Amino acid sequence: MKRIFLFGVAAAAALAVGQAVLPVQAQDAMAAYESRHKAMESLSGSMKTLAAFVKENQGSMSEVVAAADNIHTVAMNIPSMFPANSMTEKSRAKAEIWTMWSDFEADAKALAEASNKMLMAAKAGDADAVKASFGAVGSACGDCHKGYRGPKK
Amino acid sequence: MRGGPAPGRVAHVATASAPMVTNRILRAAMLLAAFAVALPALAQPADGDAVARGEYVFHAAGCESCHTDRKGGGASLAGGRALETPFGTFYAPNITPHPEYGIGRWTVEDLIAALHRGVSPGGAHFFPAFPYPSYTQMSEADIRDLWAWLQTVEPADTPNRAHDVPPPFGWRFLAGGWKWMFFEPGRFEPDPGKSAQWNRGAYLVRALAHCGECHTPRNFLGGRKDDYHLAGNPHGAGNEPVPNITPHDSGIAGWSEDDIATYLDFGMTPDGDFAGGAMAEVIEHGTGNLSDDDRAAIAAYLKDIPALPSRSE
Repeated sequence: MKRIFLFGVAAAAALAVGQAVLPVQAQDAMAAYESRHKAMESLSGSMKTLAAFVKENQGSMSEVVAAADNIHTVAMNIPSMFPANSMTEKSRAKAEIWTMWSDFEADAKALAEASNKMLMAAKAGDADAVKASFGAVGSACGDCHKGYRGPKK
Repeated sequence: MRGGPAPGRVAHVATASAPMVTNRILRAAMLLAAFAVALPALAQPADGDAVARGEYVFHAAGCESCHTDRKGGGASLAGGRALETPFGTFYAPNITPHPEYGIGRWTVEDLIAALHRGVSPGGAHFFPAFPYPSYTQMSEADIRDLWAWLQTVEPADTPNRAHDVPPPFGWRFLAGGWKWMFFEPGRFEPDPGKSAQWNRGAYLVRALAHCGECHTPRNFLGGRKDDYHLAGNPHGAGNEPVPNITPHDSGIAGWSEDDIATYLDFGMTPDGDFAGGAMAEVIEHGTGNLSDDDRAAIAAYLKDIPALPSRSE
């Protein structure tokens, strides 16, 4: 009886894992595309806030903290936003994301690290350090777009 | 460690045996030292300023993007990077000073002929994937500086890769006919009615940075339609659409000069997006290395050219 129970648990667990690694279906692809598209748009909104602060001293430090925090949070989640087979007609994601996955992950990590540095500076209220860290965040955005984002559709 | 006596011992022997000899050795050493100092100057007649200016020209002209195969881990300027066009795939050649595989046997006159007239030292016509229809407007002084800097590049023994261009576009003799139809050699002529900044911007955009090679549409034979200067190209390299950068609503009318300069500096658009694809490379290896004044000059020029609607074909 105990064995049957254990076997049942193991089978259920295996099934659950199998479900998780199954390629997402078309509608899941659409959902993945839409959520990452929103996340990317939130990144550009945050970058706009940060650029205004860095270049024209506009905005408050608390807005900078929020923007840097958003970039850091999104960056940490970028790899999970690109499940296999989540290409859609509208998506500008390049196939290289999945063929060069570890490199893509490294690019996302670079953004997470650069934005974390900025977040620390902003939380400490150090405007000069925020300004000094801005370039690295921008480069991280550009580095990833260079290899993994296609042209406008 | 065998063989060489300690330097101190040599000196000791010399002084002990004959002061005259020491004197001669000393003189010879001084002469040698003087010669050693003079040698690099002899071997490299170009002055340091020309090399520095040439490096700047190299950045402004965006040579790196095509002549280095970064994806494939190729040596700097050793060629090999693929340029996909509607006519086939071109591979930029090795332009390091390697005598066999690069341009080590070229003279500065050869480089001038290549950039101004699109011909090789052997008299062959270059395919216009090499943007000499823009470089023809370069000043000779800039080319001479560029040449001085190119001499300082590490020679690479990377052989050139043949272009993969199907007929008839791959027939080199036809490139001569193409030039006859579409290529107008000639230096940049400043417009006396415009400011110095505008003219500097025009020179950078049209000659060095060769923006029109991608941003101006082409006809079915690949000739640049200059009546639509920078109005965008729906079929750019890699068959990717290239945007309109004239001050039209379908172009960059909404961008300020400062927005343009910022974008050319590190790739950020006014709405916080970041450049990708080919333009990200142009910014990294080209415009991002220019002076603030030069980026401002490009912006001033772009805001002043005729506003044209985007091309759909």
